[in-house]
Amino acid sequence: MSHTLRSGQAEVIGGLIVASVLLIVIVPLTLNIISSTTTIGTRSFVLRSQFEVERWSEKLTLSKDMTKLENSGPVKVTIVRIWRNVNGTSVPIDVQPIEIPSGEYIPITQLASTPKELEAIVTARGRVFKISELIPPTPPTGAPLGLSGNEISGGSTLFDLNISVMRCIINKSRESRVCNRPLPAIYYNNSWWAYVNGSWRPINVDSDKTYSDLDGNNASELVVIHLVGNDYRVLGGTNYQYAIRIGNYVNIASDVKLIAVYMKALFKSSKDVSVVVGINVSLAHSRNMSVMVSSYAVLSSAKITKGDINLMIYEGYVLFPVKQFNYFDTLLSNNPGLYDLIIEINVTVQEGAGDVYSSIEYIAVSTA
Amino acid sequence: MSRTLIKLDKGISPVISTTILIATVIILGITFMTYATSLSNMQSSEARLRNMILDETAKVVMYFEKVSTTDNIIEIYLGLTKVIPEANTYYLILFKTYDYGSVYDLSPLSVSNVSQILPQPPRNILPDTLPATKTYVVETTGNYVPLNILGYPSINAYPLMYKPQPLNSSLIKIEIGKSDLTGSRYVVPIILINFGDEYYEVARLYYFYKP
Repeated sequence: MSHTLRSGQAEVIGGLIVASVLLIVIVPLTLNIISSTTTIGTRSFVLRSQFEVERWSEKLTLSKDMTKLENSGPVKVTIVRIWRNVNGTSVPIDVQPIEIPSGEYIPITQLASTPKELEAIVTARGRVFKISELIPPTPPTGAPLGLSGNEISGGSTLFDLNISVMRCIINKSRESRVCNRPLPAIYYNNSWWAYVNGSWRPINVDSDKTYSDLDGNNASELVVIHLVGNDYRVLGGTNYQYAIRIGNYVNIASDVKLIAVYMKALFKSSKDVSVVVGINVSLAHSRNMSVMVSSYAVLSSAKITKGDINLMIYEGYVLFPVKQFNYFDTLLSNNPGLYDLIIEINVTVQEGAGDVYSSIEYIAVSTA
Repeated sequence: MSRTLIKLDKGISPVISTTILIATVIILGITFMTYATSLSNMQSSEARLRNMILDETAKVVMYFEKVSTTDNIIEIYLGLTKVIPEANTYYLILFKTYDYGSVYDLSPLSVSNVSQILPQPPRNILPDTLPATKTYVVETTGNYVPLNILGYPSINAYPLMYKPQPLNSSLIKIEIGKSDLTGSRYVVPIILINFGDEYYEVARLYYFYKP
C-alpha cells in the first residue's frame, strides 16, 4: 500500500518538475516577444503622436504691415525651405534652418525682399504655409450702403484702400493733354487728398469739392486727377478711359463659387454733350498678371443724353459666377490667392462737347 | 545458474528501463527545446520585422508640398521628412485609382519623370523593378498584402536615398501626363522600406485629381 503511494507521489512530483521546466522556458520566451513588440510599438506610436501634435501646433502669421513673420504658435518653428517666385516661376529653395521660437518673429527680408516674392514656407516638421493664407484680412471699416459688414471681405471705404496702380488714357482731353500722371484723389476733411507713392497726402487742388460728391449725398467719392507739372486738375476731358487697380484686394480660395463686386459709380456731364459710359470689372492675380478674369456682367452701354438729366448713377453689383463658367472655375481654382480688383471706366462722347466727370463712391467684394 | 540469471535480470532490468526512459526524456526534451527555440526564433523574427516596419511607419512623414498643373502635365512635389533624422533608402511606387482607400483598385501609374529636387544637386531617378510577390501594401484592415494579388508580376519603384544632412527634409518632383490619369481620380504615391528581399509600405498619400 505504502509502495503504491510512493510511486504515485513520484509521478506527481515528476510531472510537476516537467511542467515547471516547460513553464520556465515558454513563459519568459512569450513574455519577451510580447514585451519587445509592445515596447517598440508604443515608443514609435508615442514619438509619432508627439510629432504630429507639434506639427499641427505650428502657426506662422504675417504682421499687418507684412514686414515680419511671427511664430504665433506654442512650439518652435524651423524654416527649412521657401518657395519663391523667380521670373514668374515658383522655385523651391533650401535655406539654412531658421529657428523662430514661440512668440518671436523674423523680418521678412530674411527670406525675401518682399512677401510678394514668397509663395510658401516649409518647416522642418513638414508644414507648408502659403503666404497668401498668412496675410491678415483687412477688417471692414465701413460697410457700403445696404450691406452688413460680415457680408464683405476686404470691403472698406475708398479712403482706406491700397490703390497700387492707376492707368489712365486720355484720347482727347479738353486741353489736348495726355494724362500721363494720373492720381486717385478724394475730398476729405475739408481738403483734397491724393494717393501718391503708396500713401494718402493732402494736396492743393484748385477744384470745387463738388467734383467728389456728384450726387450731393455728403459721401466723398474717388475721382481721378492728373498732374502736369504743378497743375492738379480733375479730369474733365471729353473722351477718356481710365482704370483703377486696387492691389491685393480680394483673397480667393480655390473652392470659390461666386464673387460679387458691389460698387457705386457716378457720371456727370455738361448738358450739351451726349456720352456713352462703360464699366468693366476684372480680377487679376496679384503675382501673376496673366491670370485675369473679367466679369461677363458689365455696364457697357449706358447713355447720358444731351439736355437730359445729366447725372447717371450705377449702383449695384457685378457677379463672377465661378462655378457656372468652366473658364472661371479652372483658372481660379488653380490659382488661389490675393487678387487685384480692376475697375475700368470708358467714356465716349457721341454728340456735342463738354465736361464729363466720373467717380466711384464705394467698392466692396464678397466671395462665397 | 538459472537462479543467478534471474537475479541478474531483476537487477539489470530497472537500470535498462531507467536508461531508456532517461534517454527518451532527454531526446524528447531536446526535440521539444529545439522546436520551442525554433518557434520562438520565428516569432521573434516576425515580431522584429513587424517592429521595424512599425518603427519606420512612425518615423516617415510624407506630404504634398506643392501641386501645379499645366495643360498636359501635373507636377507633384512630395516632401519627405523624418521624426528621428536617420539615413535610409526608400522606394516610391505610384498608383492611380478611382476609389479612395481600397488597395484592390490600384493601377500602376506610368509617369513622365521622377526627380529628387532637394537636397541639391537635383537628379533624375530611374526606376528599379520589384517583384510583386515580395512587395507588400496595407489594405484597409491594416494587414499587409502582396501586390501580386492585384495581378501584377512586378512594379516599378523609384529608389529615394534619404539623408538627414544637411536638412532633415527632401523634395521629390513627380511629373505625370494628364492623359495617363484617364478614368482615375487619385494619384497614390506609396513609400516602401526594404527588409531582406521584401518591401513593405510605410507611407501613403492620395492626391485628388480633378480633370
